[in-house]
Amino acid sequence: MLKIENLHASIGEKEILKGINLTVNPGEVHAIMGPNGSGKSTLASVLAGREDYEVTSGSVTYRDMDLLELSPEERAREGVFLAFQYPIEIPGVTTINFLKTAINEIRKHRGEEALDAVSFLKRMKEKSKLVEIDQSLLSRSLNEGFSGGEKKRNEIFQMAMLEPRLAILDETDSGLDIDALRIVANGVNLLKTPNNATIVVTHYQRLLDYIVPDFVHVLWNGKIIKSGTKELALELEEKGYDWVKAEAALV
Amino acid sequence: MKTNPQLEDLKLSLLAQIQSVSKEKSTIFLEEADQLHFPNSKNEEWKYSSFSVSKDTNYTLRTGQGKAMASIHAEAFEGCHLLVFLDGAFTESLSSTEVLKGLTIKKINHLETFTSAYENNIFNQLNGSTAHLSGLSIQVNEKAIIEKPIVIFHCNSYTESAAWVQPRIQVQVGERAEVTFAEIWQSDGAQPVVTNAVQEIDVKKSAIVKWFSLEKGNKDSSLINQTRVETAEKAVFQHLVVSLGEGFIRNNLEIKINSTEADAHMYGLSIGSAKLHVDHHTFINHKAVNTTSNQLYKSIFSGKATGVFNGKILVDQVAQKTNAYQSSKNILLSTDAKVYAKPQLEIFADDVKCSHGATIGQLDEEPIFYLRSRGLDEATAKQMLVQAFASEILMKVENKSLHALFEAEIMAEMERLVSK
Ligand SMILES: Nc1ncnc2c1ncn2[C@@H]1O[C@H](COP(=O)(O)OP(=O)(O)O)[C@@H](O)[C@H]1O
Repeated sequence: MLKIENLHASIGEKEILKGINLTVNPGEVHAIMGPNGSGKSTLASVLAGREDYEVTSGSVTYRDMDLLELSPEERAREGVFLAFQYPIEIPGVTTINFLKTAINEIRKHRGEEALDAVSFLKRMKEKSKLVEIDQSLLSRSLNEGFSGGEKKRNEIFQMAMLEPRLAILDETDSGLDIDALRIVANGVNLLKTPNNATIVVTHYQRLLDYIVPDFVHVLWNGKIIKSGTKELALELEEKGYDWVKAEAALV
Repeated sequence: MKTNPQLEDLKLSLLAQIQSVSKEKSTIFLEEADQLHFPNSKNEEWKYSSFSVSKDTNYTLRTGQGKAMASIHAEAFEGCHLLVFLDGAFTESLSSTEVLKGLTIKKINHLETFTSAYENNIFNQLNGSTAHLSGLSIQVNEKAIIEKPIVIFHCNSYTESAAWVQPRIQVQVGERAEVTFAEIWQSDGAQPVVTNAVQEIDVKKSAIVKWFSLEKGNKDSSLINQTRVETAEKAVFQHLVVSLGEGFIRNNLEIKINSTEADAHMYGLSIGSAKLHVDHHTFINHKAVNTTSNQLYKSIFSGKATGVFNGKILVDQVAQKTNAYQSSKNILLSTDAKVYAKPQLEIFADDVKCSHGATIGQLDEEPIFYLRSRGLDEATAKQMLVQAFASEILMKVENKSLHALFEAEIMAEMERLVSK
């Protein structure tokens, strides 16, 4: 589904991603871990199409397309979804309001008919239950006055509504208490199918108690320096990152 | 003061025309006007707004007597009472006055005017000199609750030459009365028109008054409004103005909060995609303890549109526990669009909460990216954000009929904005 090869990306003069290689297949959950500042959010942003970053070399192939050639909205319509690390507030734009437009843009792109109001509301009801988000929040200005947990749940709610093929969760766990974490993780797990894939970017292992990854990668200094299975996450939790860095330095 | 010869000629011509229609009634105003000049950019209050008129054009003073027009679509004001100013004068035959219970409406015959911070101002004196010919006085009775908004529709029928019109409205709202007014300004652009208007609104104790204004200009129109308001104890006054289209618009809004526990709210929304020039000069004087004023002026400009916001807040020494907020937020979608924003705070009391701020910039990139990442294309995302920006003001137009009217005009202007 996704194949990242030797990806380099910079912001201004500064190179942040220094040769990322990663392959994600349908049905898989990948966790990307690493110390602060290693480039995790940058990777997520580059995949979603944020224009602040310049890709200097390498390629990203997504479902046989050159992902880097697509605009952010084309990526979304092809099924890429980014749950933001810091979901912004947009005064005057309600979640319902832009999601309705978004869903229908995506459906149009796929040659499907627009969702009528009744089906939209039905889907909304169903999905808001899934992530335990109060429906009244959805007709308020996006994230305005929302708590940290509500903002993150709103991201997962949008993901549930848009049914992406590839979901990228950027530090969705940061700032969440254990209840909110469980709700968010539960939402992600319920949305898992053999046809979609998830990349979970996280700083801590605790989210991975709830969302069990098939693969764990350690990103450091713009490169993936170690990959493994869920046991690697536990080992990192116990021993920190220094041993991985030391190992990488030897190679 | 050096004056523009064309404007000096215009002044002389207007004075002569006024003299010939109004006889001795306007002597004081005329004498004062004679001593004054039209402002130029050297005048601090007119630094960014130069008042000018079309070249080689004679302006005919109109004080009514226009022919009734087919173009008054009363159905646009369904759910409202309608008062019509045709060619600058209140025209009873086009208005629906019979159903107005709780109000007295009459022509102005004796003018007692509020003092103004812009006293020394030729527009003021010129307008005063014809108030007895074109003005309207409205008295809202004590405790009267006027359910339907009162639309004051300004239109022009004179096509023989450029016109100069001077509507004047005096309103007194009695104790505990509630009323909503909406001035709708329309100029069809057949000939240049200068509208030199004055509104004086006296809000008595515990009365609630909402005053809306929908200003739609064209490239040959100039609209100068001087709105003076005084409010009594526990009164609530809200002023909301939407300025669209093209041309020159200058709004001087002065509010004196004379007594305790009174609130004043002022809102503005300007949208222009061509040569629109909108200048809001607000002046709020807190003269008693425990009063609040709140100002929010927004603009969205592209093309060569220009905005000026000059907001002055004066808190008298006695006016302890004043809350005064002021904010100007502007989105510029083109490099030729401009906004000048200037707060002026003069605070003589020590226990005061006061804030002011101005933002001027393009649409933020972050929300655009957010919406695009959900599948909206860039144009749709921008349109949604611009609408959201405007909706904060539109939301304050709560009356259904007025909301529909304002919304339709704002949306139409917005379409011109993004299609450019
Ligand atoms: N907009 C930016 N301008 C300059 N440097 C940036 C910017 N964004 C990120 N960086 C730098 O890139 C590096 C990687 O950041 P980031 O991708 O946020 O890491 P992580 O998500 O792993 O904490 C950091 O050193 C950070 O300071």
